[in-house]
Amino acid sequence: MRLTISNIDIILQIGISIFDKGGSAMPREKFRTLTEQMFYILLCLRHECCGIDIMDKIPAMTAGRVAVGAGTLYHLLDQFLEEGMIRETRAEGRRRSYILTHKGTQALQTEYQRMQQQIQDFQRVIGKEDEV
Amino acid sequence: MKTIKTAFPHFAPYDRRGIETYLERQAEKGWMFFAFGTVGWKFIRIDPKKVHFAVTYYAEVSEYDSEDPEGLLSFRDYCAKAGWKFIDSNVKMQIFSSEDENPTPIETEVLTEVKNIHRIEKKQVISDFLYRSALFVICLLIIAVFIHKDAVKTLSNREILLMLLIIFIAFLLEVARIIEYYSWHRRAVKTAVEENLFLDVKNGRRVSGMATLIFVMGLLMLMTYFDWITVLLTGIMVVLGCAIMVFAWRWIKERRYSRKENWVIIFVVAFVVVALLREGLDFTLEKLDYVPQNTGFTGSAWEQYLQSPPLSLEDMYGEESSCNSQTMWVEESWLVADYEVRSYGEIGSESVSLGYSVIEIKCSMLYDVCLESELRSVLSHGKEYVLVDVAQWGADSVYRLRAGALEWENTWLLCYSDRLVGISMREEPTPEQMTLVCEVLGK
Repeated sequence: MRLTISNIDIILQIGISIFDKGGSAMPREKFRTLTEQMFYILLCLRHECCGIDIMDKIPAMTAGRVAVGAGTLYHLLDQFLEEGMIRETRAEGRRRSYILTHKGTQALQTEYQRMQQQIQDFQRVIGKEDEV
Repeated sequence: MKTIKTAFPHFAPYDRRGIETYLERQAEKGWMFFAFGTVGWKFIRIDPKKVHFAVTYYAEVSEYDSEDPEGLLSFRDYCAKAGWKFIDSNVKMQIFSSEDENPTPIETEVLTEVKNIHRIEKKQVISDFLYRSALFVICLLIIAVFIHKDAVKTLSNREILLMLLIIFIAFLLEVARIIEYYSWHRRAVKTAVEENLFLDVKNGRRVSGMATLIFVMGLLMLMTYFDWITVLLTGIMVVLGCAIMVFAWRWIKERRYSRKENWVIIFVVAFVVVALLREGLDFTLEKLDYVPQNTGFTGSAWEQYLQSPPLSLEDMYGEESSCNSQTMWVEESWLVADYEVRSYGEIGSESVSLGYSVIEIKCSMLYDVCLESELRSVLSHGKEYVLVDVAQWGADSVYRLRAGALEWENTWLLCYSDRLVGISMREEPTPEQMTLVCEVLGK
């Protein structure tokens, strides 16, 4: 076996997989529930939007309550692309625009319904306590 | 007043908060970080002020890239829009600064940040561990082969043993580093999920600093075994080698080859540079005709001569001799010491000679290994050591060299409790000479 660069990469990946068993298992299954920042990024992308502009849109949408860091935004857009939740629509030099896919829309909808359920549970429990 | 300084801080690469705090403190003291130098971190003198620093990581870049990839430039655009000014990068680590009072951090979601660090760090830490392990195993195998070929020469060579020790310590430190990283990663994930906080790195500097300290100490110890000319020339060659690699690297980057091409070129250049410098060192020493005091060049290594051997021609023959030549070699490590003496002279008109070696085995576990090696060493010459019973040597066991069925030679291998003595004479030794050898060399 010639030790080409791609063979070295393969050996490295095998080594990483041996060491990393369980190391990358995150408590939340990827994008099963969305964090607040993930939610607002996806919300911004209901309509075509340049990735870099999302940083201004979110504080405007939330009256300054939520802010997304540049690095977090960049990495999450990458991850959403990888998961097929958004797709790239345009590239003007380094400025890239994105829009939600069907999968992304579903994720947003699912999160919305989850939050609705939470609100209803809250109102029901608090309502009962008030009655008492 | 100095306007630029170079610092050598030690941080675990994923200790972003430690690095940020350090840079902020430096700015408050009037030193602003502006670049990673070829060696060290560069700071420029400013008026002391409050500056926020952000350390973040970008995975899809390699030290073998000729230029920053498009994705990285785009990433920096995002950070610039948020008010963060890019300062410099060390491959995957990107450093930004902001003088705003409350800048939005570059990373606002801790779990995403920890994941990103893990993508980068696991590959780095594991690849370093695999390389060090491979190096250690290869060294062990090489030494095992050398021991099989000539155990005494290998085990008495302190430079080889010291290098093996340094490589072993480097391997252990790599094990410590990998354990430390994975321990931090598991706790960092837990802290990110439960508290949405980035877990500080507690001991990253300690392991990194210890590794450097041990490496430097090992080098200094290794240098003490050589004469000053060799150390000086080696130092010059190392500096020259580093300068050549830096120029080669800059030249390659200007050519804008691909990442794979850069990797291959650098590997080949490094191999050639090391080989040429090694040859250059030997060539220079030969040309200088420099013979350090009490040493001789055997064609592959320097060996040390000593002036007064324990047993001389006069001692053996009980008469004054005109000694034509006398040489003694010593190789000694913490495990085995090997002394060899060769004396040639005349007593009256008769030529006499005496050759002996004393292999002092300081670690008793190695006795059989050394004995087997010595017994095996003559087989390739068509000879063999045969066990004989000669009590006058006062040894635990005695071997005599034989070439063919009945051709005995006056070469003996004497086994004492903690040493092997090899002795070679022109004629058969007398009982008095055997007793003398036992008293002088056997104890």
